[in-house]
Amino acid sequence: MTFLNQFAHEATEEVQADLFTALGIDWRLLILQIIAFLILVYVLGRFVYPWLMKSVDERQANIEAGAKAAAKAQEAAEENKEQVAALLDEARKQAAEILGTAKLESSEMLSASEKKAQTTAERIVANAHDQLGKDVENARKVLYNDTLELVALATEKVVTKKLDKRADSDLIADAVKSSSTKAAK
Amino acid sequence: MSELNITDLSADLRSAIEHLESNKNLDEVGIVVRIGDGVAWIHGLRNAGYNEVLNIETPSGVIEAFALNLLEDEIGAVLLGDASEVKAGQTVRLKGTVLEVPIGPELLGRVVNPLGKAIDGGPAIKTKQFGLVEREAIGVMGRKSVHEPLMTGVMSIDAMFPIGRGQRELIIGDRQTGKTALAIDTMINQAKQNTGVVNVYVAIGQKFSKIARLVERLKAEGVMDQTIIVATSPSDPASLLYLAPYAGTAMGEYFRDNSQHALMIYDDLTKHAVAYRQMSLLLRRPPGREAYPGDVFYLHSRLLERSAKLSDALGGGSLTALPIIETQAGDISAYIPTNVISITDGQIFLETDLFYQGIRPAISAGLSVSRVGGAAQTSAIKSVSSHLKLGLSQFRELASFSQFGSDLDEATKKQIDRGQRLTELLKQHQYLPAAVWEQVVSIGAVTNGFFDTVPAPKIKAAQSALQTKLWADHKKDMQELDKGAKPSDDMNALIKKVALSVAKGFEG
Amino acid sequence: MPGRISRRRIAEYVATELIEAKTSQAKVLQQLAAFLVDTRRTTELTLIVRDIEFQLSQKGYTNATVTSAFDLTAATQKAIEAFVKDKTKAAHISLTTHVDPSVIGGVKVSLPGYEINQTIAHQLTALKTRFKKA
Repeated sequence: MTFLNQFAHEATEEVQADLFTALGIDWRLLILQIIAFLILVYVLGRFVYPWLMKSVDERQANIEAGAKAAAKAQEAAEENKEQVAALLDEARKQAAEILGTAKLESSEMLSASEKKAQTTAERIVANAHDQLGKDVENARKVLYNDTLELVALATEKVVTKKLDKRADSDLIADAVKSSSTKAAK
Repeated sequence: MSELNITDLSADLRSAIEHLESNKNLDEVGIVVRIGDGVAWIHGLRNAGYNEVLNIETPSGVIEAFALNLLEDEIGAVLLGDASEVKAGQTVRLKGTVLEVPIGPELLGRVVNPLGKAIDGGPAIKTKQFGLVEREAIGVMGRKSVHEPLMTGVMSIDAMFPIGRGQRELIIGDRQTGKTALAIDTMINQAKQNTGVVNVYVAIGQKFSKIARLVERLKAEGVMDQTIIVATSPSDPASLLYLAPYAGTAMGEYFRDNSQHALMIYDDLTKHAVAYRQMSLLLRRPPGREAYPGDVFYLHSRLLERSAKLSDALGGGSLTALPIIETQAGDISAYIPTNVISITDGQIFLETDLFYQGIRPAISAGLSVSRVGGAAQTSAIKSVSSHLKLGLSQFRELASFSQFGSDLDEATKKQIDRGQRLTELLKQHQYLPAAVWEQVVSIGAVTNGFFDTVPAPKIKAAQSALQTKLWADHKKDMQELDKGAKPSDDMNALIKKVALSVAKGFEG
Repeated sequence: MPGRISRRRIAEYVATELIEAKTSQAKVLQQLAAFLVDTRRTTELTLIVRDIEFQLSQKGYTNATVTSAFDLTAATQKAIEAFVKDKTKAAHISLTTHVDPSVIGGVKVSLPGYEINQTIAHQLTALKTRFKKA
């Protein structure tokens, strides 16, 4: 820069009287600055700008992709919402059915238990009646058997006292006769 | 309820006296030579026949005996009553008949001893007919092949080992494995399904307390009205234990010969063989294997051969037999079990291991068989049970693999899961026999995979829910299904729909 | 050692010998007694005698025992003898009477292997036992 300044200074002294001088512009300095600017532009354009643009493009692409994905997700979310609603409906329906079945089963069990209890009670009453009947029948049997024995005993006593040899002979004769008659028949 | 009517009593007494006739015939008589252990040895009575009834005149009445040993010099007669009244020197007469028991519908609902005498405390039984205790079995031409099902209500049996009317199916297992329970459930099912089958339960040497509980249970289930119980306790003479199954069969044959169907349950024939062994040894018959007499096979074969399905010409009635045999330590190759297995048309084998694992009824699918099989199976159940046995047998083979915890492929896992579900499904509470439609929908739901998403422990709950729902919402269809015909495609679709919806509620 | 001879065979032999009378009665009975002692079967004597009586009755020699509560008259005895002859068709009948007051009345006729009991005691026992309700 010192060289440029020096050159610019020397040049300035020579052209003090022309247009640039009138405007206060140092045309040598301007040319050097233009050259410097062009060099800068070239360097920027060659090395910086492509990289920068590339970054910008990439970012742009990312943003666009993100926006697309977001849009897609939004659509999917909308769809899922509908599906979820449908599933929930189905689940509610099945829950209601299961509840209904459970209630039905429990009410059937209840009525079955009630019926069973009633049947048991009726059976107990019937058993009691049966038992009474059996007791009476047993008493009847015992009375009958005892009476039969008493009759036999009484007969034995009476006949032993009353039967004599003659009557016995007649009895034997009848018995022999009837046995022979039966055989003949 | 009968009343104590003195007038009737007096009339009865008069009638007894009037009918008292002395015997004017010259009767053949013998005398008791010696008596001991329920056997009376009698001298005389040269014309006595085998199994003929003899009347021993004691001071307290006539004690009956029947002649089993007809030797040259004496007769060995087994007493049918109290031996304490019989003494040497007492007169013995021939009754003139072989052993007979009262038979007929008057016996229904009663508990009797093998002589037909009521032991339930009720009025004396008066029947119009008597049947021979020992009777020849029907010949070949009088029979028809077994083709009608006898529904037991036990899913395992009706699906895998179906029993037909006229079949003999042995129930065999160790003590306390549920043999009597199976028989009782079968009886209850006859009442529940209104099959019209008459039950004859012969209790051979069973405790009277057990029989009393059985009677209570049958009354509670409404079965007693179509059941006859022939009961003998361990304290009864061996002669009564020996006669019990034959007497019961004579009672069952009445229904068979009158175009009805009867079910005989002999509980159990092991005790019967033991009683016969005791009698034979006391009669000095030569002992054979395990001290049983040589004709112990004939003892059971002639009994079980009387159970048959009659031809249409003879009325088409049937007598089905479910004999029960108790094994020791699961040994089905012992003498009496092998005898009876070779006589019967199949066996239901109950295993102690399965019982204690909680699988009740503890039926071994591998060892049990029904030789009549599908011929006697309801079409509806046949349509769903074809894969049941296969599934269970595959599961049995793979069950040992699952115990090792090794990595299994999907197909194997699926088979094991299916087998576990089937095992769980076939568990059944006592006294709850299943109707035909209940069995069809339950088995179909599992074998067709509708319950594949239901874990095994929840299968019973799912089954119950399915049955409740189907009965509540489709009662007419289920009643139609209960008739036993093969389900139509529409029916299958209905069952599938309901089963799948029920399964969702039990998904694990 | 020969097998055990049945009572029936022994009785048949003795009865035949007694009827044919080739050997004296005393000898036959002596042989029987010796046989029983030798074979240690003396306890069966009563039964063998019954069998002998039966065999004899089959061959026409019947011994009837008549039991009654009182002594029988001659006429009654004759009637009973006729009755036994009619029933058994035996050529020779011998009647043994026995008085037993416990029969109360009537008669019991016991033949080898047969009996007819028409005593009052028997009927009363039948009344007590046969018509009893179990």
